[in-house]
Amino acid sequence: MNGNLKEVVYVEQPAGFVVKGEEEKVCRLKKALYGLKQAPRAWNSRIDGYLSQKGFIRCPYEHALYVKKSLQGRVMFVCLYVDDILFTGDDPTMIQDFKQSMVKEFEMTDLGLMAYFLGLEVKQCSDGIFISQTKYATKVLKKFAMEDCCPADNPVEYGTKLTKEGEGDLVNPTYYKSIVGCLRYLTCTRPDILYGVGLINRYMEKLRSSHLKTTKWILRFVKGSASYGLFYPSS
Amino acid sequence: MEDGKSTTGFVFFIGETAFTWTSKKQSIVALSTCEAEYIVAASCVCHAIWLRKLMEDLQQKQRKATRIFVDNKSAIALAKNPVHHERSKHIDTRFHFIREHIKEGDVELVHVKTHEQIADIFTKPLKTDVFCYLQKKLGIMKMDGTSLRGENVSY
Repeated sequence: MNGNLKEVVYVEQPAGFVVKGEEEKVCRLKKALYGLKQAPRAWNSRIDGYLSQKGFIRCPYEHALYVKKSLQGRVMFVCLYVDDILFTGDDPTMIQDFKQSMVKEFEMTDLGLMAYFLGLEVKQCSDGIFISQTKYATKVLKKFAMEDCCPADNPVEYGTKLTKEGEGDLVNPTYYKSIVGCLRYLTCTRPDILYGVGLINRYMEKLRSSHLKTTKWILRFVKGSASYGLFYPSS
Repeated sequence: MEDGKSTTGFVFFIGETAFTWTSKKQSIVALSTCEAEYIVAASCVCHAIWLRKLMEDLQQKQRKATRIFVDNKSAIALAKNPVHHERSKHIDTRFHFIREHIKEGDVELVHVKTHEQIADIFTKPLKTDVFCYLQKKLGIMKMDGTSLRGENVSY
């Protein structure tokens, strides 16, 4: 809703707000609307323009990252994920100024120290930072009725070999793909299951129970390790 | 593999914790382990170059060469010596850009014993004890509910 539109776009009068006697008329949009084809682009140009104006430079190697250096040699980093913004820096004044300007310009809310972001749980303390997806993992297990399964101690059983033809009965592809998708998101903090996820990801056409078994094996492994994550020590 | 293609797997560390990784089936058939490892090294070098640039932008310029651990001595030799050999003459020249970046001091290929190759966790099914060892090496651990102190972290 914050993006400014370059194009002329019309929409039908919204249901319940039709002006009597002028039913055939349409509305012209002044700003981008959710779901509009141009909306993401409009929003990105707006925030990009705003950040450049504030002295941030877009990193040429990672376009969602912006860097600002002060004359005193202090730095600040801003990371965009659509309309979620993460920022850090070594100067409290710069951070404070940035927060205030963002709240004013975009009506954004400051959620404070990062603790939860896109399903990622972040625990920050003096010793370091721990990231995990415990809640997400638990949700996934529940979704596929595996919350009471017997945990496995390895994501892919040693000697596992899958074939394109597979063995056993045919499996519902939608169900299978949904598991694969959920597991893939879990690899953000769980690189240990990545090989297994990549393996099951290769079979998407004729799915049989042998493929599903390997997939469920990973879920069983997740069951026994849902609270695992990556720890980045501060020293 | 059914179709003779190998799996590329590499991982980068910050301190002793993994922070970026890949596991992907290679698009071409390699004729030898050495060639497969060489292809992995090439994609790893690409990623390393990008990361070095990114780190510089994040005010963390890497002065020393990024060390890449490879568990195949022939692949390292191939990257260092541009010798023409019967067994390696077919390797696509684009993979040889590794040599250039070694010369420029951006990367360095270092040999590591096979059982210490952490990236194995991304390329094959492992026995449970090996898996647990490598999982620990990635920096994956269980969060202790009460404290975040390293000593209290349990597996």
